[in-house]
Amino acid sequence: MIDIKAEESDNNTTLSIGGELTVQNASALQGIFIRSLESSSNLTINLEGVTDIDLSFLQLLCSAHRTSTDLKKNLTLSGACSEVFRDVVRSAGFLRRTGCANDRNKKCIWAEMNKATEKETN
Amino acid sequence: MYLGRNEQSHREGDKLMSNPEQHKAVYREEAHELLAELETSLLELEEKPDDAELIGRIFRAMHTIKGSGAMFGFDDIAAFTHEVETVFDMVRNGLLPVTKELIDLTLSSRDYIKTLLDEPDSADKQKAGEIINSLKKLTPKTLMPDEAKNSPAFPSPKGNESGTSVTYRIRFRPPIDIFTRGINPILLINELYNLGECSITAQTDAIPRIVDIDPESCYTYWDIVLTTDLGVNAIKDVFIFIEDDSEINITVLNDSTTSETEARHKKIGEILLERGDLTEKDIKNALRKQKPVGEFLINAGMVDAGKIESALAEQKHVKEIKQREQPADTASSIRVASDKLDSLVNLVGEMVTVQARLSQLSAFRNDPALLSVAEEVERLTGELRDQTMSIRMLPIGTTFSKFKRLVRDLSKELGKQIDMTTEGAETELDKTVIEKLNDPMVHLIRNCIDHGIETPGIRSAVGKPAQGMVQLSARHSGAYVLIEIMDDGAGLDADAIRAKAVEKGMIPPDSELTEKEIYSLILAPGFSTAKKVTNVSGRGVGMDVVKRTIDNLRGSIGITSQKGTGTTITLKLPLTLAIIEGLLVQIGKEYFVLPLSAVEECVELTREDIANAHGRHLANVRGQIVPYIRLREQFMIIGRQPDIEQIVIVGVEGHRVGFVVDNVVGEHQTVIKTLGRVYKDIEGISGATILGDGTVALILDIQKLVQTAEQEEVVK
Repeated sequence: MIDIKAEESDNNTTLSIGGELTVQNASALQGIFIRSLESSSNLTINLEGVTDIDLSFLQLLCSAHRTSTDLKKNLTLSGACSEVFRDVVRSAGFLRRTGCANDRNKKCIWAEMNKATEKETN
Repeated sequence: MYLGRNEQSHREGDKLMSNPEQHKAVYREEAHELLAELETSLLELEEKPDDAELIGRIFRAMHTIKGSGAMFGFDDIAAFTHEVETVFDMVRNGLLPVTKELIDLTLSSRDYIKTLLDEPDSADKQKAGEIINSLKKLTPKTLMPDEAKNSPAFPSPKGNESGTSVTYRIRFRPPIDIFTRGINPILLINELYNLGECSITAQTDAIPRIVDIDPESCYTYWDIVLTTDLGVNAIKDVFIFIEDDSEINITVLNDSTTSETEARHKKIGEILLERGDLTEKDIKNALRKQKPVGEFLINAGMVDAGKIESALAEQKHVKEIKQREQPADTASSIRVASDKLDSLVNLVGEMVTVQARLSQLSAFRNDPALLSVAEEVERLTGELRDQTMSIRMLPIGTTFSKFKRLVRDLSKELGKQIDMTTEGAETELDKTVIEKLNDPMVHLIRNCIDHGIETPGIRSAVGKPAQGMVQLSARHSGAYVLIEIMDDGAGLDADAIRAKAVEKGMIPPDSELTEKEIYSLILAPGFSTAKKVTNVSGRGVGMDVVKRTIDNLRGSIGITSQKGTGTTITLKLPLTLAIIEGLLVQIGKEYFVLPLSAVEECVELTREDIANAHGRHLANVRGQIVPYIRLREQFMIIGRQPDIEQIVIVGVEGHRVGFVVDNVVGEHQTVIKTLGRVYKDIEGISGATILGDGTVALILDIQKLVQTAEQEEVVK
């Protein structure tokens, strides 16, 4: 089960995605990302309600972020995200210090998350 | 590379590279140790079947025996151990429970491996087959791995599977359709966290744009730096289900055998600085303008930032591991062949003798400069002696753990329930003493189990817990170590022993003996009270052999027992066999040494005293009557005794006995030399030593002398 809520105002969309973000729901999630990136130029993703997550969703997030850079749009994660999400990102080795070659705006979501975690631990 | 024990043993090994026989000897030695460890761990596992660490230890021991066995041409061992290891791998993975049967079989396997190691010709192939079959029966069919897929019965190229940590660099690229196979790659790589210290970096550069991505494909791959002591096979095991379709590259980054200089190359700046071509300030200025090489490479578009990320992670990981390894290095040990140690001890013995001579000479010359040198040499020699002796000391615990197996097997055979506990396993004893102690201890423990501890039925009937208890303990007591073997069995039956001794004509029927004397009868040759001769003990050839061995070690046996509640046998053994503190005495022109640890005091014996004793060899020491032995008569030394003689009073088995000598010279560092085969049956002399001036002094076997004198007295 996934559970999506979108709040739109002007060009800003906050997309709250919760539930099981696993490979079974990956196609549906892909569709949601494509539509959201088409319709708004500032996309914030809130992952507070995530109960389960696997690699497929991490790949989708990464892919969506890359696409947003190409389209000169913004895609960010809201500061609040569930513990489950954090754990999987960490244990899958996605946290990083600098973004990849695609990350021309220096806004890599993983690097941002890493910065936030480092701040917390300090 | 050998079994990866420690760096030194590798080095030792490097010298031997040319000779495969020596190689094999090294393997045998280490394999024996591993087998001992295997046995101990298995017995422990029986008590704590859930202990994952124990299971791991057992698995690793077998893995190493297997791996190195294959390397050094012990193919039988490798093949057999592989089968057992496979089963234990399932135990390790929680697929198979630890049962008594499993432990029994594994112990038999361990014994079989030992046979293969010691006497490969006498190994019973059929028995091996039976063990393997029984083991296989324990494992559910579905769990047996496909034969073709079995990890090969030889080690990884590095073979470094026991103890030492190795850092690996792993690149894992799962098949693109991994999700559809129902495998979660994150869970898979997370298993690596269980193997050791692990840094995981995901590489995301292949992930396409959102419109192009197939959400059910895997585009991610990982760079992992892992430090583990479990070996490369453990890593491969993690990926075993998908290894055929994945790209898995495992390379060794460094292991602990790589020395510091090999592991770290100098930076160009450091070299220039060393040569004096640049000053430190120049370098700092230059560096301030320079970007880190990673940043530079990313900007130049030469590598993906993810690659740099993983390289940085690797650098950090290796650095952290290095730092942690540092303190471990200082506690390292070195493996030395025991005959090298023996010759070192011999040399120190010679040294002590020469030093005694130097001291004697310098005292004679009365030259202050020479005296001070002699004193310095004396002090250093003393230290050298103590240090050398301490190297030969081993904790007795290894012997104790061997007996655990004995107790287990015997009690099973005899249908008794026995728990063995040990105490003071860390007590150290001379290596030779420990080795020679093995057989007597085995015999004593067998006696405890066979004669001492009753069957559960009888025990319950007399109100004892059904499970019997045998306790082994060791502790220091002066220059001796006391080893106690205590059981809570039936105890010794003094009346039965007495009756038997009378029957055998060992004592006259009307003799009055204390309980202690009666107990000591069981140590006499040809004595056994067991009504039935069992497989285990009761042939009456045991206890006297035990006594002889302990006597030869200059030790003694004490027995205390209470009928119905148990028996305690105490072995009193000297700390070392090579050098003792002695008391040098003189009779006529001959010198003798008494072990100082037994000497209690020295008193004068005047002609008047002798006259007062009316021909009996008794002296009055502060109102106490002390019997004495005239060594002059004992050794038939001709010449006239001085007017005032000396009695050296020693304690023997709780009694005070005097030895009459002409003159007490003083304390002497006695390096014990054996007398050689010709003289080995001489009673009353346990060895000899060389004095400073080159004369030989005999070392007295006090116990034997006292016994002989007692017997003579009885005959009279």
